[in-house]
Amino acid sequence: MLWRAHAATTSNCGLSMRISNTRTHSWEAGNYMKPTIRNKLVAGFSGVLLLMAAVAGIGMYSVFRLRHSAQDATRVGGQLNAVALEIQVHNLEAQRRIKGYLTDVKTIGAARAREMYLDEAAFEIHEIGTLADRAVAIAPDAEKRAKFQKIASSVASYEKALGRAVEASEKGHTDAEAAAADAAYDTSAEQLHENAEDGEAAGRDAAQTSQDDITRTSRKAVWFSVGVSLLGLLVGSTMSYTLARAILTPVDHLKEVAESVSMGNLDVSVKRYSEDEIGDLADSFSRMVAAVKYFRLEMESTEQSPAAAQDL
Amino acid sequence: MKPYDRVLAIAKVYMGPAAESFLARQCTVGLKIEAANIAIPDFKYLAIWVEVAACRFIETAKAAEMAKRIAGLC
Repeated sequence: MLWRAHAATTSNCGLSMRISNTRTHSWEAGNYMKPTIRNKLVAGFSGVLLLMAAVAGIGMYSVFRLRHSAQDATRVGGQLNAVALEIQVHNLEAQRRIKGYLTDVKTIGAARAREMYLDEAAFEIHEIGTLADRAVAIAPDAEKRAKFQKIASSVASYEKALGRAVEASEKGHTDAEAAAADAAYDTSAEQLHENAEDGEAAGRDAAQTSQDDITRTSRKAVWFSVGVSLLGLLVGSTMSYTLARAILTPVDHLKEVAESVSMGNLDVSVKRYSEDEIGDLADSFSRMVAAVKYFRLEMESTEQSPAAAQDL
Repeated sequence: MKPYDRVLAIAKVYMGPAAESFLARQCTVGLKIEAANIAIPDFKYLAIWVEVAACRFIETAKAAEMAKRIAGLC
C-alpha cells in the first residue's frame, strides 16, 4: 500500500514535472515561430485586432478629414458670404447718408450736414474698403477675388465722385456743375451698388460651393469608410475561416478515427495534418492504436498457440 | 545510455507501451539474442526485422522511418 502510494506520488511528480517541463519548453526562444495552435490563435487574433485597428484608424482619419474639410469650406464660404452682406449693408447705409447730406446741405448748412451725414458716411465707405480687402484675401478662387477687387476699386472712384459732389454743393458751383457732379456721384454710387451686389452673389455662391464641397467630401468619406470596412470584413472572414479550418480539419479527422477505434476497428490511419498540438495528439493516438493492435495480436496468438506468438 | 535504451527510446515513439515487448520479440526471434544484450552492430539487422514486423501495427512509411532511425544509431 505504502509502495503504491509512493509510486503514485512519484508518478504524479513525474507527470507534473513533465507538464511543467513542456510548458517551460513551449515558451523557450524559437518556439514562438512553431505553428502550434497557441501561436496560430495568437497570430490570428493579433491579425484580426490589427485589422480592426487599421479599419478604425482609417475610419477615424476619414471622419476627421471630413470634419476638417467641412470646417474649412464652411469657414471660407460663410465668411465670404458674411463679408459680402456686410459690404452691401455699409454701402446702402453710406448712400442713404450721402443722399441725406445732398438733400439737406442747403437748408441746414455745410458744417451741420457734414456732422450729421458725411462723417458717418466716411466711416461706412472706409468699412466697405476694409471689408472688400478682407474678401479679396479669403476669396477661394480668382473669379470671386476679381469681383471683390472691383468693389475695392469702385470704392476709390466713389470717394472721388463724392468729393466732387460735396465740393459742388458746398462751394456754390453753378447748377450745371452741381448737377454734373451729382450725376457723376450717382453713376459711381450705382457702380458700387452693382459691384456690391455682385460681391453678395459671389458670397452666396461661395457658401453654396462650400455646402457642395461638404456634401461631396462626406459622400466620398462614407464610400471610403464602407469600402475599407468591407475589405476588413473580407480579410477578417478569410483569416477566421482559414484559422478555423486549420484547427477543425485535424480535430474532425481525429474524432472520426477515435470513433472508429471505439467501435473496435483498429485498422485506421491517423494522419498528422499539422505540426502543432493536434499533430502531437495524432501521433499519440497513432502510438496508442499501434500498442493496442500489438497487444491484441499478442494475446490472440498466445491463446491460439504459443509458437505462433513468435511471429509477432 | 545503453544501446537497448537508445533503441527502446526510438521504438516507443512509434509503438508506445508495446515497444518493449515488440523489441524483445524482434531480438529473440530475429537476432536470437536477449534484447537487453543488444549491441550497436546489431542495430542494422534489428532495423530490418523491425521494419517488416512493424508494418502490421503502424503505417508502412512510419515503420520504414522507425527502421531508418534504428539503423542510424550504428
